[in-house]
Amino acid sequence: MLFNTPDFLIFFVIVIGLIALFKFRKFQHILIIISSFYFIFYTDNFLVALLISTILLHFYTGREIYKSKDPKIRKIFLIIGVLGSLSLLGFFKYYDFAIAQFNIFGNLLNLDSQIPLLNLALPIGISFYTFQSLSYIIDIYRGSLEPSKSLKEYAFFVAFFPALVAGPILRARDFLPQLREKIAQSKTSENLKLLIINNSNLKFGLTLMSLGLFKKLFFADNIGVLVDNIFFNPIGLESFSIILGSIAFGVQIYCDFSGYSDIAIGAAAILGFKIPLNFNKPFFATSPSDFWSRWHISLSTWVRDYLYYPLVFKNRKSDIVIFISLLISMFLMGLWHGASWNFVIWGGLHGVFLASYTILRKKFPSASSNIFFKTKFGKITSILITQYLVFFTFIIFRVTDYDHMLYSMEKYVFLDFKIVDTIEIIKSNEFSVSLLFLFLILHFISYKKGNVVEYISKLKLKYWFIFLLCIFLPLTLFYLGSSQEFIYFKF
Amino acid sequence: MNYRIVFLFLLAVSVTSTVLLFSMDLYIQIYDPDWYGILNLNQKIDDEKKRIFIIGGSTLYSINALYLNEKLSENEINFEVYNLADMADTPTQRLNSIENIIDNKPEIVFYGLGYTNFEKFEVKEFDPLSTFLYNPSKLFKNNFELLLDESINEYFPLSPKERSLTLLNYVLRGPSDHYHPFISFKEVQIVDLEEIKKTKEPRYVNTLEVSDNDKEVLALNSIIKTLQENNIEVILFSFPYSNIMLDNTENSELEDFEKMLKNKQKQFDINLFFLHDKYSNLNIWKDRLHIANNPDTIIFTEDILEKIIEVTDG
Repeated sequence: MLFNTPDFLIFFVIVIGLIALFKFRKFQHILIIISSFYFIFYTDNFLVALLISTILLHFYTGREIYKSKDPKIRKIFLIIGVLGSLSLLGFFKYYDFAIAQFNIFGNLLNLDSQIPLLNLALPIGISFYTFQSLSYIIDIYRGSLEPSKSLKEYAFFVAFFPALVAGPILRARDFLPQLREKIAQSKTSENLKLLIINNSNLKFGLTLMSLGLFKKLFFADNIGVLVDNIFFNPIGLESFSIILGSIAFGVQIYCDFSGYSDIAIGAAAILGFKIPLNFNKPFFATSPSDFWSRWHISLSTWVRDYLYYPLVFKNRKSDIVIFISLLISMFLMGLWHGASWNFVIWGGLHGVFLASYTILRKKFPSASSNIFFKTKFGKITSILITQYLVFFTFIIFRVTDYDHMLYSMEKYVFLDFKIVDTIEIIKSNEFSVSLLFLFLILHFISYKKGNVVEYISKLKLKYWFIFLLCIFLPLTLFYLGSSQEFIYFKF
Repeated sequence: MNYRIVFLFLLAVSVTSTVLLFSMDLYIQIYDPDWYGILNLNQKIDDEKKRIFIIGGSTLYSINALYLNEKLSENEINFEVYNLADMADTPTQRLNSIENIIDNKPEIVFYGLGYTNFEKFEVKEFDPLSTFLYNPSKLFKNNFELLLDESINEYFPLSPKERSLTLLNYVLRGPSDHYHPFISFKEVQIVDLEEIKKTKEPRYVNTLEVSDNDKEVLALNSIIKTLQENNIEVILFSFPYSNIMLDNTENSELEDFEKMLKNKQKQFDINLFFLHDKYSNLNIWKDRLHIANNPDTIIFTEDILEKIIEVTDG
């Protein structure tokens, strides 16, 4: 069930309606859990069993880790939990990829036999809820989190439908306290709270959901037409066409994924839950590490906390350890996106950028405080260099054919300074190109103005109504005619 | 919960839907030949020239009327061609706008028909309980989306985006010199037949109904008869299919289709030619049903040109 389909609209209205009508906390929580399971069942049928088994596995291993005083037993339960969910993820997401590589390797060695592929369907949301569950047991093991009070509470957290399919990846330590009834300013009881749909949350949530849909249907889908035209067969295209394509794809994927996250955060807000931001104006990042603090924040902080920090923990002063740890972390982050070499290369390249930047900053600590980087010109230069690298990696993310990918990368790096065909592409895609510019202007305004959503959701009702019209009219009048799948839905 | 917020949100959705429907309807009023006449939309009308209309389904979109008109001029043939192909056209649908075609006084009508125009879809038994249990998204599709899709198809033969842009273009720059409003004549890439096969599930053709009592056949009879009564020459032809479609169609079904068209040829004494399997193995397709709009697919247009020259005694 995609957020941009009538199916979701009906589903959401029914859930919200029932919650508003029946103000019994037990009913409300069970309703959310059943709705969340149904949300997965709707698209994936009985693969919902994977979600249920992940919930059961982590709830009980988490509880055992917490209860046990013996470090060995705690470790055993941690390993059971981690291996259990990773093996499910590995089997469904990476089995065929691994077998395909094995067969290719076998061919090189002239081995006759081929292992058949299973052509497994990827269960939706598995990458997201696996990571969510892993952080839960790791945090309990580290002693920074108390386990859930009940299976119902834990199931609510893992299966919470707004964030289930494509994140943001929730952390139990942020979410569970919100689920419990507040007694005092900072204390929470063991009871699950009554879900009340209040005015400010409703307005904020609807604003964010509308903006998310606007980003997806108006910007991402329409700019995607230009991206498809350029990267369908980029061989022979000019450098500027490739650059235009990579910028367009960067904007498309941003509007697509941040649009999805906005809808998820908005839906959660209406139900009274705060989900942290997943994007924060990434195209104004001034360095590779700044970029990853603004792009897919819930994943990058997850990788940082549960992968990178443990890897560098004992040798944080060693450049080699930092370099290799960042490379491994980003390589695995790339692999998380999908079982394909282009994601691996994409992650690896980001790892190289991050590691090089981190080591350079370590070697020349005074450079970042240099007056040049404090000036407007210095900041713009930093942004442009960072974005040049980021958009370069988007080519690898988008183009799966290796000849096409290599050609595009070469043209991106070694400019040919030809412009004739690029002008033709712009002319024949003038609507998409106009939207690209419009997006960049709006992105700049929101960067300068700060929290635009907060501002809009506090507008007087008549102005808020005008805002909705301004969003819905272009969204419907320029609707492509069919719902395009969210890009991160596949991960 | 503040119901004013919900009310305003729903009001915004309603206002937007009304504006959308109004603008889509406006588009139809300005452009659709079936409602308001094709002569309104073409700037380059030459009243001196006799008219040839090409009618049929979206498979005919790739017949390039601009190319045809250039060639006819070069050959000093005093005819102008209008491609009036329409999405999902069938004889029953076309019959509804036959008066409009007659009013615009063509000399000749080329009518492209495909065997899929006469396909009968089986109504599959649908068990709501088991569907709800095992495939809920299908339940939604059956009960709601099907209805929605049908109404959308009726109102929006093209996407809202395409229509809005065309409408905007019309308002800002006036009518362009395209020759059919519902067709995007932007060049489209050819997709290799093997690629198309890989990306799409095979489409198995259901039973054909081509008996004399079938409503599509009866509608076809009426169209030919009405045009002939108005002294308009009718030429029937079978439009092309890719081998992806033909391979999933029984030979006997194809034979029945050909036989029905030959009967019409005999019954009404009209010209007939077959193209349904002529390009089936050529790499000129954009999907399994449509030839790409592309200079490399001009073969289809050239075959039509040859027939036009033949019938106009050029």
